[in-house]
Amino acid sequence: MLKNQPSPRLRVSNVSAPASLSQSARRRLTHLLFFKSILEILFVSALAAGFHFIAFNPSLRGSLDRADAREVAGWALDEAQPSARVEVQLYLDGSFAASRTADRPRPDVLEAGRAADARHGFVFDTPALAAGEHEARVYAVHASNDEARRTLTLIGSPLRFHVAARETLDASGTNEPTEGASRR
Amino acid sequence: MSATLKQDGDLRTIAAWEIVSIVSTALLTEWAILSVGGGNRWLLVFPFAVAFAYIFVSQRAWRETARDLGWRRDNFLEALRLLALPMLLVSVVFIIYGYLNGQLDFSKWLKGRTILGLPVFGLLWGLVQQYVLQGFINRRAQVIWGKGWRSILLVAVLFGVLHLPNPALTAATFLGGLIWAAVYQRAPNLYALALSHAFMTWVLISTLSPQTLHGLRVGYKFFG
Repeated sequence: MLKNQPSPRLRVSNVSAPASLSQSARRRLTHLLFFKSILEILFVSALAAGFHFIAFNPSLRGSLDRADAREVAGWALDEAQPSARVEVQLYLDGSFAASRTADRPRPDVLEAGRAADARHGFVFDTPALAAGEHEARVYAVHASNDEARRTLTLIGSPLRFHVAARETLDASGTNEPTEGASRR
Repeated sequence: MSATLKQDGDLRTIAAWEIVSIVSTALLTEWAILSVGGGNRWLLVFPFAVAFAYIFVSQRAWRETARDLGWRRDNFLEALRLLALPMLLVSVVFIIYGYLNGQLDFSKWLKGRTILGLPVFGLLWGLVQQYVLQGFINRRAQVIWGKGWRSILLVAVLFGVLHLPNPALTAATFLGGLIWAAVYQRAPNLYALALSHAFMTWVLISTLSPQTLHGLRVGYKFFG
């Protein structure tokens, strides 16, 4: 008896086109809207997780050991590929300064059992900087998507250092070499 | 009386939710999926399929016929007649602007495309956009507010928002959205709107510099 009864239809009167929705259709649309939202959240979450897994290399390790007016040095390696060389980039005060491969000898890294060989160190020559406080950051580069995407992973912690006025003159070649800069 | 008001309110709530859902799918695609997908266009299949599947189901539930939606020929000329004057005015303004800035070149669209490239792509893409914008969003906006400036404005604002952060396209699509939504409410015909969409895209490309249009890029791709 009940099954044969038409379901009540909802209608908005001031719409140009007939705008009506049966109770069951209304329920179905509500469920579908929930389902669609959940489906999209799951899709984007899976995509974001996949992106993170592909774009960032969690096995990159390293340390920024020294930063001063003359050089910035440390080591970097990929623990998943301990014999591979890692590309590192130096940023000074937030701006790109230089790029190189971490392939300088670091016997201490080999002795610590972190790598297959000792050639995982890097040393950048510090470019001429204005006198005052500066910050050095070194990032390991990870390429993915056929080298189309490159992501950076911070190596160790940023180091702040001070460049004295005399060292600025040294760098421009107008003065005699002096003692090294102070490191904080 | 109060039961009727509640039922009307329920319909309006569902219509608003449907608009938000479809617009958020488009924004999610432009801003999130394309940004993490690394240019993989196959990833677009999922949001497109989900959105269109929902639209089809919804239109069946609302008992909307193809004729209701604007898939019809009987009012094609009437819709074109309504579109003619605003399109002419906007085109003249753009042509004068392009002429004064030395950007006027009606063959610009040919660069890098086949002779049929833009007309076919423009018409099909215009048809898809107008189908979603008018056949779905405009009709749901009318459920909320009925015919009139409020529903027209909503359609235009949403169309502009979907073209952020490209300033030229956002402004142009907002203006186009106003015209197309108003015409659709008087003469719902998707073929005429698609034709107008393709024509106005051609005018835009022919009168503004590629730098101004930023390669017609929107969403995350705008920055790429």
